[in-house]
Amino acid sequence: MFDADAFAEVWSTLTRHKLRTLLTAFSVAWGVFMLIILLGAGRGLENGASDGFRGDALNVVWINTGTTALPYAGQNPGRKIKLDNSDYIALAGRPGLEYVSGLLDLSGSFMVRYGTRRSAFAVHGTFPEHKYLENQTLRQGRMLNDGDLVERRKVAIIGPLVAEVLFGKQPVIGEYIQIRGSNFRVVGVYEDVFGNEDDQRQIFVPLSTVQLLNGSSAELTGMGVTIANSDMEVGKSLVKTMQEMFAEHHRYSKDDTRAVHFFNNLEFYAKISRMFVWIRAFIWLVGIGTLLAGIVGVSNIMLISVKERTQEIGIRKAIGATPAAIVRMIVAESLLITALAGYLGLAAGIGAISLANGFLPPMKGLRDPSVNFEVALGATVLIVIAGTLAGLFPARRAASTHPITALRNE
Amino acid sequence: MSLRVEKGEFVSIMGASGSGKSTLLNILGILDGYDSGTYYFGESLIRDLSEADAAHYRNRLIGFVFQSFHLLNFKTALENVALPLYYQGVPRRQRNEIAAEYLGRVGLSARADHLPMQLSGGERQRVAVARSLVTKPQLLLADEPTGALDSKTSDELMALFRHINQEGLTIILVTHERDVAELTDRTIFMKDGRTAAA
Repeated sequence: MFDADAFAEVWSTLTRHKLRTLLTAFSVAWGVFMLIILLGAGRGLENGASDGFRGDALNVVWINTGTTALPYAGQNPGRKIKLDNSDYIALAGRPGLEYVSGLLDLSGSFMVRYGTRRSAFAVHGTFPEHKYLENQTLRQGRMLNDGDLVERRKVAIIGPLVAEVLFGKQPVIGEYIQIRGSNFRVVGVYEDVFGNEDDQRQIFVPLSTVQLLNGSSAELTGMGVTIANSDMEVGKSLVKTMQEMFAEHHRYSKDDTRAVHFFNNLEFYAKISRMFVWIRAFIWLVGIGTLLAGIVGVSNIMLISVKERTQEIGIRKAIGATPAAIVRMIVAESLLITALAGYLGLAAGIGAISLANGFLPPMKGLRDPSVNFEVALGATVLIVIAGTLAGLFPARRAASTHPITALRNE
Repeated sequence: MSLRVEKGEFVSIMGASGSGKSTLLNILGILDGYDSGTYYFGESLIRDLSEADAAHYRNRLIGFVFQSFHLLNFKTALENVALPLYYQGVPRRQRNEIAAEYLGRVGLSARADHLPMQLSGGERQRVAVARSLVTKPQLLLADEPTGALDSKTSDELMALFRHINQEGLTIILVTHERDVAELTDRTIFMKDGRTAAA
């Protein structure tokens, strides 16, 4: 029921009290601006955090060796547990698991060389399945294959940063790099788009080759598996089963979580997601608080305005304005201020966020801060409701003023 | 007290401060209620009206002229005159036409776009008169209308009132100036809330 006439009436009142209107509008615009900025930043953090998870497969479970923390079968705590190929064999092909890979890190300090260039990189012996666990894709050449493993080939897949440091702009594939005195032929460069910087500077070689270099050992420093079913409970119970298996096989207590570490990425992801639900709630709380302060400001200023205009209201009443007409007038003024200012704040907030998107350097843990349409719409509805409420209280006071009292007020 | 004003009369009420003349005017103007007695406006009993009904009566039946004009300072003369019609829901164009016509009647067509502050006291009061007439009321109430005017403009205003009265409008005017009261048809004196002999 938009009434152009009432709008013109309200508009003329507002434009004739410019400073007051401006100050009121500012407090609301600021509140909305802050709400939008906060929501945008929150979304950016959330994007950043979920990127952190995309570095690895979401359903990966990392298994690492540790030290017992509980006594078991007459043995004192503090015993180092070692994994070996038998653990791999126990898990490979197990129902419920998708990919299984073993890992043997080449320990000790050594330099990886290519010609005269050299630098320190982490070198891991792995299975071809490893790429699925780390969400690696191929940039050039090829990835590890079963043939490499069976024939214990001295081949290496290197990270983008390794290629850059050792080769610069020169061709990479087919070149030989020296790892601990042995020559490895580079057959591929992987890509790990969402991984962190460490993820870019790894070298992967066949596990069997590393074990051979280590003196025909069967040792593993860790394992990684992915769970076929994405259901959280299924994953949890599977991890529990594996924990019990390992405890029995390596003879340590089933309650000992430190003997072998199990890191369930999905569970961690769910934990972080839950945390973000709270962060989002907190942001809304703060944002709405700021907005509310703006609204109270509007209400306050409208109250002053009504007081100041007691005589005007008296005159209007004397010449025939009903109390309802007065209420409508004040609420409409309040609504117009809050709606316009709110819209400006909204536009400024969204503008600032897209500006930040365009000009801020990419940051770790923050990506694509943005506000979606539903949120903007919700904020707008909120402003309209708030504007009405802000006007209502002063309006009712104005309407209840007795015309004679009002007229006497000089 | 008992008071009867006939249709078409031009009556003045005089009395000292606190004699109750303003209270009487407020009751007649339905700006205020009363505790005892009755007030008939034509055939209708005016008593215990809701605020909305009172506003409706004020708007349709009664025009007000005040001592300090009571114009809205941020509205032009034309907008001030048109305001009562706004509360009747008359569309903007139409009410501006009517308002312009009434401004013409009080001789202020040339001042239509001026703000009250740009007008002289006499002009402001004439704008107020135009505003009080714009709804074609049945009764015009004037509370010390000449109180803020010099004697020349007072005379001009009284001449305007006389002219309006001759067109058939009933006017009740409160004043404490004998000169002004003498320009009306009948003067009612008030003392301690009652009508008194002259």
